[in-house]
Amino acid sequence: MPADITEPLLCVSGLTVRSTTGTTLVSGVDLELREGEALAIVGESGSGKSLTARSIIGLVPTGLHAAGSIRFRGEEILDLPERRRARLRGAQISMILQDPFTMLHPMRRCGAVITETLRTATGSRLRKDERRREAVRRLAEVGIHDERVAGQYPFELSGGMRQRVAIAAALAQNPQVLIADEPSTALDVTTQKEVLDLLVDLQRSRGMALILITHDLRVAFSVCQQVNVFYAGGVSEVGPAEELEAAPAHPYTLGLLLAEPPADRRVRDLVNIAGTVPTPDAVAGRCAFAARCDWATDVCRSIAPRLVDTEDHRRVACVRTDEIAGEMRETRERYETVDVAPSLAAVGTGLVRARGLQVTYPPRSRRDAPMQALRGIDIDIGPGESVGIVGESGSGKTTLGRCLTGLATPSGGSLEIDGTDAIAYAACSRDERRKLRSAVQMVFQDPYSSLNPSRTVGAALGEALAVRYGKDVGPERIGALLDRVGLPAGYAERRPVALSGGERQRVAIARAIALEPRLLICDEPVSALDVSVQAQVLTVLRDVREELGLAYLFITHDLAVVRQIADRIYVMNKGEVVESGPTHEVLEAPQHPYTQRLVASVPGNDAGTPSAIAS
Amino acid sequence: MNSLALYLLRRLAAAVLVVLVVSFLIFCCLYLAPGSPEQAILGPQQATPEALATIRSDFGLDDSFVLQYWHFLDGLLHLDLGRSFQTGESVGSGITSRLGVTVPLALGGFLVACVLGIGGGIIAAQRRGRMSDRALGTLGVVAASTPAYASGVLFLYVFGVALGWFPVSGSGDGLSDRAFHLVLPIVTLGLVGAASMFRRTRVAVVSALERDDVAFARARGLSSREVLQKYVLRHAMVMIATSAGVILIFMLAGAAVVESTFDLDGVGSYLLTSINDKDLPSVQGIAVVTTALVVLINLAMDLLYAVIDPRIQRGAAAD
Repeated sequence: MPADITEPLLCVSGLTVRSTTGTTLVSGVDLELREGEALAIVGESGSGKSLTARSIIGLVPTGLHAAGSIRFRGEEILDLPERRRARLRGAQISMILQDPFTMLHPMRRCGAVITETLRTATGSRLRKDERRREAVRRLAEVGIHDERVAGQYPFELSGGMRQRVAIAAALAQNPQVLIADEPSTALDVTTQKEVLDLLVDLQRSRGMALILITHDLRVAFSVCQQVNVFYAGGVSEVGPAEELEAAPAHPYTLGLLLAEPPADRRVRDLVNIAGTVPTPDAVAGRCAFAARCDWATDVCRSIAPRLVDTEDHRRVACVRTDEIAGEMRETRERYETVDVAPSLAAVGTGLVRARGLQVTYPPRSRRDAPMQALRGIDIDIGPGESVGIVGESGSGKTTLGRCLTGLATPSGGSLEIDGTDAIAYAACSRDERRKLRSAVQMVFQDPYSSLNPSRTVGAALGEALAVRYGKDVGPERIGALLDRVGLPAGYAERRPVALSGGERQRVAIARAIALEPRLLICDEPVSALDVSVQAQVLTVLRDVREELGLAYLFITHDLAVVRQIADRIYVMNKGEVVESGPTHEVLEAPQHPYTQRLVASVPGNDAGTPSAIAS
Repeated sequence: MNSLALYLLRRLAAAVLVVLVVSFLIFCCLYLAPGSPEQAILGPQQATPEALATIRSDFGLDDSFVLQYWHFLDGLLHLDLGRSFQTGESVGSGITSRLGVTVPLALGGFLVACVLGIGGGIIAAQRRGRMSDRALGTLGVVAASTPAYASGVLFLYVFGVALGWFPVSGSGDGLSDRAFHLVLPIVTLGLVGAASMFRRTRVAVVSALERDDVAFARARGLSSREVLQKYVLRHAMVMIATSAGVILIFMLAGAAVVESTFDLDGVGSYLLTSINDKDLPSVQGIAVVTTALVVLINLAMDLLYAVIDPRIQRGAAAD
């Protein structure tokens, strides 16, 4: 069927996804994808971005129902019977998922996964030697030139390699559209960049259309020409990437842009969007963003804004967009020009002093060698200093944090915390251990698993306070603690399930500072949180440090985050410290090749080295 | 494959050890049990002190505990399980002849359990939340909560007495007659196993259907049959195989109940009679043979995992 010239390749209109119980998850999404175009869907969790993608490919999870219209090459495909729908999948529209560790069949060899959808012209499977040849060719296309990979199982490969294999498998039948759902989120920073570059290369060389789903505006801008911003199950703004980046027309887009901490400078006030993403049903009949918007008026709260065309190919769902454009521009300029010099404390000593610290984990099986997580590192932390540890998975950064809290036992070197020898935590006397434990506290990455779900916030905090103040801890102490992390005292009655991710992380911080430690170890405390909430938690951490004067060891993979919070950083790779120094110096003029690669991997940072091809 | 052979050797050694330990425990229990075996052998009438003493020396009951156990072990090594106190016949041949009833019964029940349970489980999982899923689930609950002796009696009444299709008692002679006699017992035994197999299969398949790699396979256009065979069942297989092993062992235990309900002369009813008669060598023998069977089934299951899941062979941590 020859498509109308003006008809886009894929056209979604009025797409709604509801559960059988009547909850709306996606409400009235419109989307247009043209041939060979790279389009981004950007949104936080609960925005409906993944469900939109699932509806397009026809894999809506059980218990949900999609309604509306999805036209592919002019043909309505949303209501096609499953049999005909399945024929489109893989051949016309294909998809890769977020997690390369779960996406590939763990018991099938990579070559088999890549070629299993291939058929000859007559519909029969390819011969064995043809399959092998195809697998090798497809692997080469995604930058894997080692032919042995075709015969390997996914568990024998790294995350980046697995994601490449998955891309090769998804593209096996040469589809017109590839949907990539957070393809780089589960990967390390340097691998992230490689995978995104690969997607862009493939999209251009194949002339294929790409729908990139991401929570990260910077990723969207660096990969896509067209960006759709989703909020609470609907589209809030659509436009070309450069224009959206230069002048967001919707207050939510502006908020997202500002909430994303910059990697190239330290800002004094991190911008955060108050509150959390609502459910589509909670904001039906009005602007979904009104409750969190600085410019909201009664009009916003009484009608749902429609997505309307503005000048220069943009569409915005905001009734006040023209009136507030000027103010939004001013707000942006105000925040973006502020650049504070970091508080340059002298290289601190005294609180933590580690020399030649080693940690070796016993081998997993008799054939493996013991795993050296830390290969003799030197770390100093002064009282009140904020020190960042930057590294990817396997760098040993988490092991270091665990050493300082006595959760991992060093196998060599020396470690002194607050004047106490902490190298052999277990061998310390009870009093020494007590002292060490109250001197060092920890905030973990996942606020969903670090709080006991059956205890109220008040009980959790009261328990921590009791360690310091004895049995009877009055509610006023708990209230004061909650106040310190910006939560109302009434939260003491709540259980973790009634809190959002950001609120839970605040409670975790409150619990950690209840003991008034001298050092707070934060292991990726914001990486599990949505962008708009990240800034809230970072601000709380900054304020707490200012008020209490405690030292931080901030463990993260995110250079932008570390830039905002640490005065001095150590860059770790494979159990060693490869570079250290004041944050701005290390990030602006990285000396070690590994640090240079890390800095070059920040999305939108193309000044660095070209993408390395996995060997 | 060298590592697989080593693994096999280790598991075999462990299996022998388990059989030894269990045999010792059983021996202890029976040794310490109240009442004396010679009394049971003679019965109340002929129990004169002389007769008792003869029996004691004949069966070596005056030997020390350790010596008695040693004799038992020594016999075990020569595949000699001793002689029955009651009948004087060899325990080994007594068990072997009755295995001719019990093994077909247990295997038949296992087959019924697997076919109904796995088939039903897959169908229910694919239609989860719909009417057919709920109907199958209800059937499963009924089958699981009806004890074998109750359903056995019901089947006997309906198909044996009322309809007269199947015999109501005895083990039958010859292959076809025996098979005919075993139909109702096999169905009775199989239904209980099927219910548990159904529930486990359904859970396994439902969780496999929710996996990312299954979604990814569908997103690449694999047909639903391919997805089911290559992905869903492959994932569910480890859990289904585990359940199957448990069910097979359960079939051995359940056979005892079904045998006595249907008046079959199998190992199960042999065990019950021996316990009632305090026939120590028979009880010991049956217990050791059953233990060995259970250990063998478990061993076979472990080997099966290694075949199903390449990660176990390659020694990687399962993720």
